[in-house]
Amino acid sequence: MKAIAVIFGGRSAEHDVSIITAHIPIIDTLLSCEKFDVWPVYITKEGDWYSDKAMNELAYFKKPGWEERLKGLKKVDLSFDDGLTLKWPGMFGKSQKIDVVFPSLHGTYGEDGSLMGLLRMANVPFVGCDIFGSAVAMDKVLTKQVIAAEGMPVVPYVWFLKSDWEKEKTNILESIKKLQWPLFVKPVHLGSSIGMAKVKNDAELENAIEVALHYDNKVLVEEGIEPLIEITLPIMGNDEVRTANCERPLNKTEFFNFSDKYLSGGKKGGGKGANSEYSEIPADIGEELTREFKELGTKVYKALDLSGIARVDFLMHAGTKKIYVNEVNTLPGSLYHHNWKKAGVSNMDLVLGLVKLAEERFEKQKNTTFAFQSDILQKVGGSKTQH
Amino acid sequence: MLNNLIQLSKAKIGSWASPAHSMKTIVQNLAVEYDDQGSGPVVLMLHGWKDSLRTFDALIPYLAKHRIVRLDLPGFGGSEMPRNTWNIAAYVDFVRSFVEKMNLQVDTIVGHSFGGRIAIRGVGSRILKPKRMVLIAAAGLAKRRTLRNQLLGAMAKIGRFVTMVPPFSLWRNQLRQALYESIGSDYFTAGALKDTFVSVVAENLSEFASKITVPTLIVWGKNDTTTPLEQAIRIKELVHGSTLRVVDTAGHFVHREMSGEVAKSIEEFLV
Repeated sequence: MKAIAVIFGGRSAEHDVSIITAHIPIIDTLLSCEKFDVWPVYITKEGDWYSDKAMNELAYFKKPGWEERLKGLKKVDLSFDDGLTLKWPGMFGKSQKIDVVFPSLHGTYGEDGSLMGLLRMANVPFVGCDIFGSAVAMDKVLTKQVIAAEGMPVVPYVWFLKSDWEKEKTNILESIKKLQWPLFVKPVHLGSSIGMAKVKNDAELENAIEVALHYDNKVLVEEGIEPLIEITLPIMGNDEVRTANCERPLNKTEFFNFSDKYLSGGKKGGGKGANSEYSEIPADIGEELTREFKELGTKVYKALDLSGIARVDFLMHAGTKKIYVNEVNTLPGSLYHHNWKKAGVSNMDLVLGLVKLAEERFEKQKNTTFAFQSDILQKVGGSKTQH
Repeated sequence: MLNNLIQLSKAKIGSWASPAHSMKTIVQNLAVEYDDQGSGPVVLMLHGWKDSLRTFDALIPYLAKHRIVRLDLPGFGGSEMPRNTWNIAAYVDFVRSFVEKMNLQVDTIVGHSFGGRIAIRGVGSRILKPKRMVLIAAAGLAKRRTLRNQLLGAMAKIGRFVTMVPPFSLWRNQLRQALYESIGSDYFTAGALKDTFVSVVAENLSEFASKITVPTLIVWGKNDTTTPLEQAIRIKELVHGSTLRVVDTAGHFVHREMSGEVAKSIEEFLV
């Protein structure tokens, strides 16, 4: 039986959402297929790593006092000697070799490529996007720059760093005012609408920038499209990709904030995972637009060198039907399994399919040449002290 | 009459089902969630321990002639945790900064329970300067420790030593939890705010209450076991010229249990 580690939690504002994604559908599916020895690996908000089979139950993270009990456990160490091994130190210490990893971290230190870098160093296959696509997709500005350079449409925007804002606030505000209002202000590295705001006047704009800079060093201000239709499209695959349904989130309020996206949906949804109740799947936008979104989504997937799974978000003007690529999410909450299900992909097909894609990519990378024989060391002169 | 009020309250809550979304701002380098609705004289509402600005939802429709500003205090609701241990004075200072940041001329402060502590200390020390104040089941005026709590306190100390050795150490957490639950203390569940909780409950606010000079309405549930009615009577004695309204069938969350009646008292007081 293959040992699989599902890594979740993490030093991120989306810590709690990550716990949900890890269990619904990932761990639940891996356990029920009975093909894997499932090792849940939980990273605290402070960055401490723990692993205990009891954490395979979502209920573990709901019991009062669980954080206290956690401190009674031994932290788990990682060893990179010929693959990845989990090690619990101590007199009765034990270790567990891991065959494949399923990262389930949203946001910083996880979805942003950090964890992928670690797993590459460990030389272990892992599910989802690799380090490069993850890092680009985590930065909303870098994403737009790559997309635009590839000739795909993005909404007009202004971006700046905290230090720019402190030094040349007036100039930045000048260029922002040339954009079409209302505007959206976003910290570039955060997901789940955290620190994000829609603003309609100068006072709101400056407050929103202050809030965004509280969460991030880099801020994006972009034009709002009105009237707006949002479309989101989950995609999976490596070289060959498959799209799920175009999904249209239906916002009850003017703006979908964090609690709408996760909490109100989750409350009703019970076992449905981290995602929304309020969406139309497939979006009622006609065949032609559906095809257009799917083609554009696939192009984005390739342009950002994504693999495994991702979700591409679009904006569309409801009147002119003009489409813009907005953001890319390399670990969609709960893998967007509700959408995949409607596209005929069961949780089993989805989760096991992703594991297979991870192993295929790993095998392929093995065949890529990374090291070269060279005689440069022999040719180079000795250190200066010898002269 | 009372039934009518409850009916009315339900109807209004129904139509209120999707309130404006809360907003964020930065105060003392902490992200704070707040809600700002309506127009008129400003009523600033401070919620209780482990509660949030939403606790006042049912009161809002009745106070239509006012601008209601509510915030999630640091450590609660959608606001960030204080970066170190705070006492009541720190919360007062935070509320002062919030008022400055929002540029508010506060007409009335409404404080429930722990929010009442902040109001008493803030207004008593004149750091917060509203024209009026409403204290709903406000904490901070508890009598000195009862004999029962002194005994339980002694048990806690003994327990701390006994549970250091196995096999008792295995039950340490369960025993502690049972003990704190029997005292009715929020300490065990205070999480990251444990030290703040200790510092907050340690302070008796009699001195500040006696310095309050603004018109004050005190609202209390007769069956309150968290802050028993005798504390309302103490506040009434200390705060010169204050008015006490006791709601017969309610407990500590009187503003939620009997929102119609509480709102009516507040509305009359604000006129």
